[in-house]
Amino acid sequence: MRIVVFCCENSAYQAARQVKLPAELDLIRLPCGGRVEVLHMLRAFEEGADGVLVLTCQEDNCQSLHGSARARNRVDYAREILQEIGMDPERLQWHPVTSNMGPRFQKIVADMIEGLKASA
Amino acid sequence: MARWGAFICDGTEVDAGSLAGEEVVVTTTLPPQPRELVCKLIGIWTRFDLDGGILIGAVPELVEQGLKESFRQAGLDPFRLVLVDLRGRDAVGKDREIKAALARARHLEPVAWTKAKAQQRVLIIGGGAAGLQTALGLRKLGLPVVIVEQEQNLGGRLTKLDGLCPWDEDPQGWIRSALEVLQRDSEVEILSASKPLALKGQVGDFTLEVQSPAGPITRRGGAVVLALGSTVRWPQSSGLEPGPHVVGLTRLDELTPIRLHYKKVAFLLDVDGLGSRLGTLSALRSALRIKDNWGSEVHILCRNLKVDGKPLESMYRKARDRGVVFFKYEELPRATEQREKILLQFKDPDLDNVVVDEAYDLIVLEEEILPAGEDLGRAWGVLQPANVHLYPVETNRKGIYMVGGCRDEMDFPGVIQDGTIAAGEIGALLGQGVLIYEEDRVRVETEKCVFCLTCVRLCPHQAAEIDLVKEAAFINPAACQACGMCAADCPAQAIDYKAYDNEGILAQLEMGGR
Repeated sequence: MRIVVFCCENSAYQAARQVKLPAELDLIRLPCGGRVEVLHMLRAFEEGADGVLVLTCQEDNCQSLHGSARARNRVDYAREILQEIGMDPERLQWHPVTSNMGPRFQKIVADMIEGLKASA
Repeated sequence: MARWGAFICDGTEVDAGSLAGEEVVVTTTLPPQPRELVCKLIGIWTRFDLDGGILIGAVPELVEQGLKESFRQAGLDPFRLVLVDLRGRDAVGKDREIKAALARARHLEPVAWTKAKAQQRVLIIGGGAAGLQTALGLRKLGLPVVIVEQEQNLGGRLTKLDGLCPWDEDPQGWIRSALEVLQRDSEVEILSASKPLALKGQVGDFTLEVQSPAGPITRRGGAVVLALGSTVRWPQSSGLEPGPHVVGLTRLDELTPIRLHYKKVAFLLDVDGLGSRLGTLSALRSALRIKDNWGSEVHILCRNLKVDGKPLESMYRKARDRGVVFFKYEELPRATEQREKILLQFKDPDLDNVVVDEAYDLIVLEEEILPAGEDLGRAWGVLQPANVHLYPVETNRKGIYMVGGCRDEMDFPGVIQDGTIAAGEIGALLGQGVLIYEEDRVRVETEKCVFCLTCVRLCPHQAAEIDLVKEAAFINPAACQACGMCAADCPAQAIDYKAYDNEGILAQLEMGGR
């Protein structure tokens, strides 16, 4: 079960470093959630990801003001594409995670793996 | 062929042999102490003349920042060092991280650094307490300042507050001595009765146009401080209008000369439910002084007192001990004028909602405190949202700061603190007179740019500019804070973000998949 996590280095990436991570998890570090593109998310599926997470700052706490909001909007757009081509949009999710939310990071990943297993 | 180094932190269970390859010319273990680690890393990097390297180990954020700064100082490119943090990973996970990092490292291009001369003068807009304190702090650090004040006299709101000033300190005395110091200083230029018109340029070299009494003039500076103060708004929903028996809390001191008429005084706080800590503080201090100076009977009516911490709490207790009476209300008191008095009728939930009828000689109404100069900030693209990354005095634009009442409602000590912090930050930025930044980290490929201005509109740091000669967008490297939003959104894919380019991101995805 391969999970790709696009992380903002100011928040989710820091959170990830505080907890044990599943073996088949790939962290892609980004300078800001606003850097993630639809291309990146779709390519992750193309490269065999079962689930893709985009984890960025809380929307009011983004260093680049609206980077997190942009990331969320792009995830929404990419989920529409997944729906259109017959994939389960739940395989792509956006969540806000602050830098001190290690356990929340862990839970989001665990929930996604569980959801993927249930729908498999 | 690129020459790479692999650096493994001591204690990281990674097999150095697994990293050997044609490109890796040196593999070494680094000591755990940050200082020794950095020295050895930079020493080996320079000796082997490496093109890049990967550092494997647990690298907390602070160590990472220090490491990058040391690289910069040693004249090396910190973006050519890829960090692989293995905290929380098992053996399989470690392998994935290292492979992905190597994949990314192969796509890294060198980033050029620039040392640009920066203006050291600081342009302070607003000559109130916040602006003056910033100026004093900057002068201590040796930076020249220009203070632009739209009124004739400096000092702002504080100079207008008299005997009922809500602070223990002596703000007028403070203003006087601050002005004495600043007016004597030849490196301080004070432009009073002057209005800021337009701001051009970026951090290190701003140009401010000012409408002065002598006509329009311009001043250049490396940083800008907005110290625009606050304004107050009369709470319309109170149903009360300013008059002989109704006064705003911030104008209470104007009544001092005719004080003997007021035998019974009510403070009406929190009318719109927007009451502030500053309002509570001011009301408590004023209530105590009215008790002392006028001997009046004083009531304070509020929804909730905003007492945060010991100083305010003890002031509240002191007021109660002196006989100030506190009432709570949920529904706004009904006010009627009655024979030279104002009658207030309200229910206090703590008194079983019994209807209280009291006639007062004077009602002091808490106004809403609002930041001033929002339109100026908007025109210049400056925002000061409540954001941890910018807190307390930074804004979205590099080199522009906001201090005092224009960023948040605050009392005198808060304003002084703000000014001190801003001076310190500007000192760190401009103290050397040079700005160091990556020249081409985020770059517009002119031939691909279709001049759609998407980046200009969306850049949260106002770093995307228009180059009319090339007919292309231009990312100002001094102002850019490298979030990469423009690179992600450019419809023509004309913006290249070297440290986080598409090739590097996609290479990481490919590596994990196979």
